[in-house]
Amino acid sequence: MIPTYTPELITELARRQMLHLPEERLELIAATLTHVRTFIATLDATTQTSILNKEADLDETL
Amino acid sequence: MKPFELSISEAANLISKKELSPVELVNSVLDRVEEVDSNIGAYALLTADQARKDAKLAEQKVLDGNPLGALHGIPFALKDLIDVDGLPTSASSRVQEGHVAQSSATVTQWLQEAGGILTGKTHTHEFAFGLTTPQTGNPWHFDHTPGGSSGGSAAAVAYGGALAAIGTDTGGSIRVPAALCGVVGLKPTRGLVPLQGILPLAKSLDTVGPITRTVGDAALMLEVITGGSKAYAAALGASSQELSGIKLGVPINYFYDQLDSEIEQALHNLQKSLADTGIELVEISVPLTETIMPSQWGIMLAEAARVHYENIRSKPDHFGEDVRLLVETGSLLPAQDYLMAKEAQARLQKGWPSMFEHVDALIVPTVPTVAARRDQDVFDWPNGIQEPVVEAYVRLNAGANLTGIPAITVPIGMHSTGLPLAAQFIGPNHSEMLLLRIGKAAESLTGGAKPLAQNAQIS
Repeated sequence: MIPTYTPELITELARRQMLHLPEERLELIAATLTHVRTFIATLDATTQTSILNKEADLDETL
Repeated sequence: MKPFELSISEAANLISKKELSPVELVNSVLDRVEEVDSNIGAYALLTADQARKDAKLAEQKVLDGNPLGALHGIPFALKDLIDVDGLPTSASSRVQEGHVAQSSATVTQWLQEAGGILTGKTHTHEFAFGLTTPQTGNPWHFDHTPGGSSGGSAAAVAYGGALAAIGTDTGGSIRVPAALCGVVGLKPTRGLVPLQGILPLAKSLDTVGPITRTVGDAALMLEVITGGSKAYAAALGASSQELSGIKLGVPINYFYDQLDSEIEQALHNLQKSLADTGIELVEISVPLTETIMPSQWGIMLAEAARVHYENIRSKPDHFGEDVRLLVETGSLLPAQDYLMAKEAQARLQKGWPSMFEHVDALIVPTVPTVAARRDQDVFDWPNGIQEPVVEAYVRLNAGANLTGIPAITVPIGMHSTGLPLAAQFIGPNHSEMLLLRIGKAAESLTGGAKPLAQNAQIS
């Protein structure tokens, strides 16, 4: 589950990355990171489907 | 016909027969640039004085009867990500202010060794990280985008500001602008053309390739930028007539799902014409298409953030707003997301070659609709769906970047809006020769080499 990023969370992540982000940009970056990560996370679902398909194939073989 | 309107093969032929001087050709191209580029904005840097000097030397070589290279006296442009010794590589970005290249990229060297004459550096979407090239207008309609990120290269070739140009392609950045500007664009197999001396965007997806006005010229340029390792142009001339037995895959999923009706009709007409030449059309389901866009974003954002690690920390204000946001976002992306995207890429790299056991190549649209207006952010589809312009342009192209396979886009006519239409052919690794043959057939079946953008002088 992808968290909904907040400006506070972005500030903390950026600090760890030594990335200076002006306060007025935090909302936009939070929204963009949430969107992008949610989109990339759809790959997880396709991986799971692929694994399930393989298991089903295996069951049929057995 | 003025010299700037010639194809490379036509011009090279005339030069070798001493019927056209490189000086005359280069001056004609530079005059054309002077006439229209203040409106179009294709060039970031024009190297007119040096080009005229080089043309003089090239003319003397012809007069002396010296052996001539494949591009002797041919004016070409380079996307401004590509190094030329002593010139700035701007990447169309303030981040690069003050940069001067200390040596030339391998492709630059090979093009110049073949006798090509550099007319200048063309605009890119900043650091190639976008699909619109905001500095540049579409030569067919100034209010529309030329596409990107190699928008300056495609626009220059389309209006006659160069006989050919070099672009880079990380998610469609050669093919999209070539399609939107009505010219030919070839994305080679990853690794076939050296990337040395070219600013990267995403190192595991980047490729470099030619943008030309004819398929034959693309073959010639490819031959030069692969170091002359294979005689693409000669082989194309000899073998292009025989197409029977080729199996051309027509995807039944994804590629034709959300598409402008005129583009769809033009592609159906082309499929029928290709079938009449003996090509066998085979309906095929393209695997793993649902993973293309999320893996493209996951890889591109993370790798671009790595490339710009220093700059985004030391001079963030020097980036344009859109690219800055992408680099900042990529900098915060967890490693697990990148790895998930790389795993998906590996699945695609395994799955797509299996598809090519059943067909030799695919015929698909390059772009789902014609060039967007320059102020347009989304496409409104008839079914009510709104699609961001960037997503629409990337989604039919990124598969070839993720898998590393080659693809060519060929202009196939004009839309009722007066903007160009294009078809794309995608094949397995190192199938450039086959794609050039099919591309040449498509070019021929849709009226041969396409005219230059006629509206380029209208602002």
